[in-house]
Amino acid sequence: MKRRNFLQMMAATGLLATPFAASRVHAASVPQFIVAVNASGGWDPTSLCDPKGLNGLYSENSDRYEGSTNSVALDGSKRFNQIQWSAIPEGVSNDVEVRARIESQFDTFFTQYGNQLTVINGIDTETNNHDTGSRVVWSGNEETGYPNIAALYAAAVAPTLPLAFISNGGYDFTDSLVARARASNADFIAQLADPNLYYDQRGFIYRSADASVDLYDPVIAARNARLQRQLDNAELLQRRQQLQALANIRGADNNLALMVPTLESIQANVSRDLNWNSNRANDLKSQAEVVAAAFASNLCAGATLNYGGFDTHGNHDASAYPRLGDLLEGVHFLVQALTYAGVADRTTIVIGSDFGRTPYYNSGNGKDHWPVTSMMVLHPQATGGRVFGASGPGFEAQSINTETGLIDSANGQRLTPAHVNASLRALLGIDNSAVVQSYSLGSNPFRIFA
Amino acid sequence: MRSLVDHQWPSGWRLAGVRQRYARLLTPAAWRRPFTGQTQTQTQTQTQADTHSLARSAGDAIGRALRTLLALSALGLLSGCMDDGYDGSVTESGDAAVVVNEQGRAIYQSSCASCHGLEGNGTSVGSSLVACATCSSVDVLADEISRTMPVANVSSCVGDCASNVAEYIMQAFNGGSATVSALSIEGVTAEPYSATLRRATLLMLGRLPSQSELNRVRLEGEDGLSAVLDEVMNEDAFYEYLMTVFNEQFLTDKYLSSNLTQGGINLLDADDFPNRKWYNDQYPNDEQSSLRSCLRTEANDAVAREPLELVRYAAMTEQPHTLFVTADYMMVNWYSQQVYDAELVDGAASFRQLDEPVCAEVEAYEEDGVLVPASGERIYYDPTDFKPARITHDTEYAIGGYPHAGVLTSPMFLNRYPTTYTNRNRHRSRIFYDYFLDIDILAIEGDRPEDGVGSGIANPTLLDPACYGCHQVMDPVASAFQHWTDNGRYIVTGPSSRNSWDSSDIEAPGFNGKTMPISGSGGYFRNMLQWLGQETAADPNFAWATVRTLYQGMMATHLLAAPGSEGSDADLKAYNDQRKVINTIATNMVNDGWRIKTAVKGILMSPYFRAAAVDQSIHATSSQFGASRFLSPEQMQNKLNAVIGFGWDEFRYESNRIMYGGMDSDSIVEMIREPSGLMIAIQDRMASEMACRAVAYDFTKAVSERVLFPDVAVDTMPQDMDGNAIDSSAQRIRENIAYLFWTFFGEEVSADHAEVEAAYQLFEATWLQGRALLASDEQMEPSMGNWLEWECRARWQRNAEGRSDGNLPEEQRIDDDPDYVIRAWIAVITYLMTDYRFVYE
Repeated sequence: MKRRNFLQMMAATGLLATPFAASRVHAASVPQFIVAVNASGGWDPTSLCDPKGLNGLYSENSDRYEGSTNSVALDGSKRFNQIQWSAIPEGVSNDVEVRARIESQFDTFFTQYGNQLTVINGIDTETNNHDTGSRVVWSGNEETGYPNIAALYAAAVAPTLPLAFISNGGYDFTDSLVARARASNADFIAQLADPNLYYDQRGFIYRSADASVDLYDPVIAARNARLQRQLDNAELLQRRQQLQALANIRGADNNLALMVPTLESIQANVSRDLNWNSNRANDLKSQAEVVAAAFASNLCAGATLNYGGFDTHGNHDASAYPRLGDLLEGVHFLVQALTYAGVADRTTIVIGSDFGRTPYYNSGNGKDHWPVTSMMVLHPQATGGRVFGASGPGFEAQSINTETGLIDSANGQRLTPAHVNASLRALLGIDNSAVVQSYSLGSNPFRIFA
Repeated sequence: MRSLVDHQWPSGWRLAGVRQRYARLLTPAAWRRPFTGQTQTQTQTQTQADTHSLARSAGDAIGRALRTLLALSALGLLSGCMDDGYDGSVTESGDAAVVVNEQGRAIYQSSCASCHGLEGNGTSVGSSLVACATCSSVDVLADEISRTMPVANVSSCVGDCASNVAEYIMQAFNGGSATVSALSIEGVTAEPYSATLRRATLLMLGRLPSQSELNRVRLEGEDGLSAVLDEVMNEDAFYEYLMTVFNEQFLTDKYLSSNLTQGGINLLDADDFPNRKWYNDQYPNDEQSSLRSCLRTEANDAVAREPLELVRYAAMTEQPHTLFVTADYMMVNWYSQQVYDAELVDGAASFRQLDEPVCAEVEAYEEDGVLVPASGERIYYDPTDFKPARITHDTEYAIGGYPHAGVLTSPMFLNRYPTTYTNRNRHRSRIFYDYFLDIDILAIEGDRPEDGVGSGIANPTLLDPACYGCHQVMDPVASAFQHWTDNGRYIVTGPSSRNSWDSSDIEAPGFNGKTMPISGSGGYFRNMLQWLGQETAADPNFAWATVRTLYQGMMATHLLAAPGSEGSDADLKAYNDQRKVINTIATNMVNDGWRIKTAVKGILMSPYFRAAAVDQSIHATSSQFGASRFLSPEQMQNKLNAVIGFGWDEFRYESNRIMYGGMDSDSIVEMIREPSGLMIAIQDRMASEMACRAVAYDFTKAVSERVLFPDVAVDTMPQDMDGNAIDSSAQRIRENIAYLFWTFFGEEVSADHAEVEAAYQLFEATWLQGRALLASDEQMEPSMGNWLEWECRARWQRNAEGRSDGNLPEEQRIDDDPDYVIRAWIAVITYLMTDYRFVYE
């Protein structure tokens, strides 16, 4: 029996597709993508993109490095246009090769991507609490209730995609605008592509091998018809909401099958070991592979990557610099994966952390929490190596000129995560979205991405 | 009563960082404006206007605030509260007929209302005072106010002031002198008791109720349900469930072997516990031994589970749950007792042994290239048999063992919530307030220095008012943890101690406005956490927080947050209704000897668990009635075992469980309850595979043992071979579908119900379709055939994990489906398993 005959028989038995299935939503192509890369634990911007060198400003607070913010001097060669990055102190490791690897990670990242980078320095998070910090940095609001910027973007442009918002941890609150998806096991995803096909190509549950006969469609049709009846009759508010969410998911395209070959292709062609070091940042690289494949398959609009180990209360140099180097390597790998997948030119990558760390070392050679921080935004478009905002010489928050981003004690304003998030919304083109209006961040005079 | 006119409280600064839903009791009451002796009317009319005025001026004033604050602090004056313009009042005062303490009202309205709301309903920065945890009596509430309010100047409203305010709060917001009590709510229609029982046993025990249990509930109604719940809460599965619920908050399962080999044991200091890896010492030459590996896992998991086992122990022995913070012992089994060299509290007790070995070495193994014959050694000790024990031996830096204080001194808890040299246990203090008292320290953050550097004040946590508001609450508890190091070792602090503690820049140990007695014969210097545990157990907030932990774990949702400035009357009603119910459950638990099962049952019997419908004219926005949750992977696996008879093998893998919304208590610490498309795709896949495997398998069993098909046989068909309807068969099929609606969904429907008919239509249409295809087999390529797909055949036993578990006897096997009945049922079972009511419970 051929497909046509089968359909005729189905019609006779009343099991052709219901209106529910017929109304299936075909997702439009996502215009842009966003990846929020979270350095979990509170990174130290002075060890990365806002270095202060041996400034000796905190001799009353610390006897280490004569009260300096950093244990290594500023290096004028570590610069790309406006962007200055940290040199690598000897205290990181006795192993010269380790220091060389980290230095290479720093130098290569900023020179390779500096032209597309906007470094935002001197952001005042107004907190030194991890929960509050990660919340305000990634949502713009220190109070609860505002979604992560990547979740908000996904909700604004493509809330019904099956993997609309992929979370790999960090602050990933969505306010129920869009479901979080944890997509870490690529092999399992491959099995999910067709629930009708048994794994390992070992046969079909409902369908003949050449797909000429398919008994699964009637099950789907009956299921969707019942879902509609349940929706119509739901008496409890929460159940109505859950049923509607389920209906939305079932009504949308679920083309997980598209993602599998893309993912496999990325894994085959974008080498983890060659970008840049073998067995470095593999956690981050694995997350990046899935996200890139999901973007390219039009299954996802926003994602978080998460990388921990930045809460360096003790032995800061030995802990922080290797993690920062690996963080940069992971972002580089993400760009390579996105490029291979053909979506790098539509993806904005934001890198940030809970807050900053003290501009002096504590007695355990570590650094404690500090409210001033930085964020880095990797644009598809060229920025020329721009820095917006600044901290003071002792890594204090400053009043910033809203146009130039330079310190302006007379007429400037304090730059906060709310301003950064508002600017990101505008950059992504969702600032006027209806969804976004419920999460006002107030006025934003800063022209960070101008 | 003493006049309150003399009390003067300044305005002019704010707690700018007040951020979150507010701590319910230690709220920074907005004693922002001076009580000037105005008449009540004057006060009422000006309060809100002043609030707005302050809001506008706050930004201008903030630059001056630090300088001002120094002076205010020196005078012992009060802090203020963030002003967002919302006063919490959403209704006109409706209590004109209520006699209230006027002095209390005046103080309340001028100094408390801006945070707690004019009607006591709370604001975004102040908790509700309706059915608050300490609203059990005027005396209790007055005592709490005198010790804790207002934050940053707790000594400014004591004695008559506290009594007057407490009396007003009780009269105006709590219906008189006793806590408002409620377990039922008007306008909520409950589901049948039998449906509640089914959901309760599925949720807690992973099984369906027995017929006798159902009969009793159907016969005796609420009393029957209550009695059956009491009985089922004695089952082992209930205690496992209880620990799971507590782990969702405490997350100490992070240290289970499934996350990291020896993850718990490695946290113990080798010098303090030299026998911690006793299995290595006992089997030094057997690195690859299965016995040693098994003992290592059992020992580690017992160590990791030690704090949660205390919850189980108190519940199982019907002792008060306050043991969680007061027990002067820890819980060990045979495997972990040796880790700690712990001494059993009951010296005569012995550990239970099972009939079957837990760990055994019955197979030869290879060690360094040499085949080692199996020793045949077997260990029978029951890993679930935990008993109270104490660490009484000296450790490296402490003589006389541990002063146990329940979970507070648990090495797992202390490592899960560590501290650092500079943090000084403040993180632990924040967790303590949150977990044990439902108080959010972050909500009382003060102003922070504008440039991030600091105000220049030496010792700011004690002397800078911007810091002190929070630290005076947080630091006494932080100090109480001082003998417990960053990695949970017990080392008493002192001048020559390895564990130094500078007390000059931190509050002395204490709690809730009380200073801990340190010295003398009744002092608690060495056992500070025992004092803290006892104080915690006596605090009404602990009962509330315990019920909150249970509610959130059982209902998979947070309690409603205080309505903010956008909140409607309906939001407010929903919030207050819930508070009354939760408080009643907590009160009942305490009055029943702190029996935690009483609280569990209270939640199960509440409208939040049992509601089937609500009157929308009364409850317009309440979303928590009849709460249903997207089942976690563990709960889904339990349900599969209960209704299908075996689980899904894919849920054996943690990565798959996490993708389905699960957590590992380590890096993933929150369940996802709002499914993504990916999670639904997983669910669809599960339904297809499980239906395929389950249908023929169920038909291999005797009718009395079937879980899916008690009413039909494998040849029960709606028509005979000539196409004539067989009404009796069709009726049996419908009855079987109705049975499945009960087991799968908890819906008690008759065989002629419309939804049963819809499912029947799917069965019949699929069957007709299949029969037609079989009859036209020659037209198909490949042919349809009688044979079932390989994985759908009944050839293997299935275990709880879903794996094949040995072959079925030849005579029982089902390989083919000549009448297409099995495949028609597969379609129906798939249909049911992808249903909302199957995925959510």
